[in-house]
Amino acid sequence: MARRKPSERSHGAHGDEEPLDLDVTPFLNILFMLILSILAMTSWTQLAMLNVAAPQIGGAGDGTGGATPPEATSTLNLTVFILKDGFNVGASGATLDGNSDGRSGEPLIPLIMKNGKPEYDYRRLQEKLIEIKKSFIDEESMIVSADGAVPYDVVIKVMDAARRSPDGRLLFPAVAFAAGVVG
Amino acid sequence: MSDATESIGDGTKPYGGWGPEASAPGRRRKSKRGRRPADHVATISITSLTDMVTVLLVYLLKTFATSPIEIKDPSLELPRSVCTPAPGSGAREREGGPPPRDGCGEIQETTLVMVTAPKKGRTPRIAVNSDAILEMDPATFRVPDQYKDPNSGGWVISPLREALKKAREIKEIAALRDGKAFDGKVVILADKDTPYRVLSEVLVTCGESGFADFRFAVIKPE
Repeated sequence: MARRKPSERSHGAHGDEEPLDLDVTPFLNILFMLILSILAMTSWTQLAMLNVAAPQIGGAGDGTGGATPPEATSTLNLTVFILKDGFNVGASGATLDGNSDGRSGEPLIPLIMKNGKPEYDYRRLQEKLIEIKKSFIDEESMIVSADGAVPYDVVIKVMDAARRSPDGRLLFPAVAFAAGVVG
Repeated sequence: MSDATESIGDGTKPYGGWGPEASAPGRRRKSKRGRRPADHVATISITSLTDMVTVLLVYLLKTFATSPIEIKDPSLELPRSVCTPAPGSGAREREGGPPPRDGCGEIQETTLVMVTAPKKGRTPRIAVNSDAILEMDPATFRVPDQYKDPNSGGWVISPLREALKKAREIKEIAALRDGKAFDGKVVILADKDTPYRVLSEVLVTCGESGFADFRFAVIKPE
């Protein structure tokens, strides 16, 4: 059998010179199915958990509650009050509010305007907490108390502000919730 | 000009199929000289496509991530947090180690309490392990008073307490089988607009039912 020209060789339909064509279509089908299933199974939002201590409530209950009662080691009793119009910071009986700055009837850290909308001033709250941390280095717990209408998002942002200072040092990461609401 | 009636004015004729020239004897003769059209099978090279798909697959496998908790409810939008858990902190805690010092841990599979919001025309609900327990008032986004235990001063949600007690029994049996003590862990998945009052009631009820180790599920920064 005479040799064919190279241009003819690839099109050869018979004889032992037929090129070996691997049929990759089923393989490709499987790959597509795999890609689809991986895309469907991947969780795109990555979750984390914030640990909190139980709110302390006395009286009611059948005695089964409180598997791990929160430790009462804190002496400072640092409390952040989230009000509708800003934050107040309290500690061991005394509360810092607008009166201590000479602004009667206002919270210690009022809302600020951001993009035309009133927003909580987490930066100033954090500055205040850093200031408190300087005097109470060993203190790590904080109590959060809020107005009944304050959204959960604000509570999480307050916990974020209280966890670490911008330079990465721990501030008050052990957050507990006070029973009841303020305001 | 018999054709003038068929013309649409610009000299073209209406489409009448392939016409006689496609099957003209001259053309057929010409095709006989080369290969016949029936022999020619057009093959698309899919090797490059296979390459691309394989690379895509490898990339997806690399970025593949699963989460023990999946949220598929569109009326539940978790709050975002700056919390970035230390790698391996979840595994250490599961093995009985202390919880992370900054209170920021990896998500774990445990009892879930879900609070959804009145979004997209849905009624806000409270659910335990994705079983709906009660519906809240969509207008005020509060738990109706009829569900509250009057002996608790309006802080304990009775149906939620019953559901959590059942969940606790199951957890206690599971813990007994593993030779561990019941840890009282509960993950709160609440919408970011949940009012503090509702959150507080849910927390108090969880505490009353023996789940005192609360975790708030949040979205990690990218």
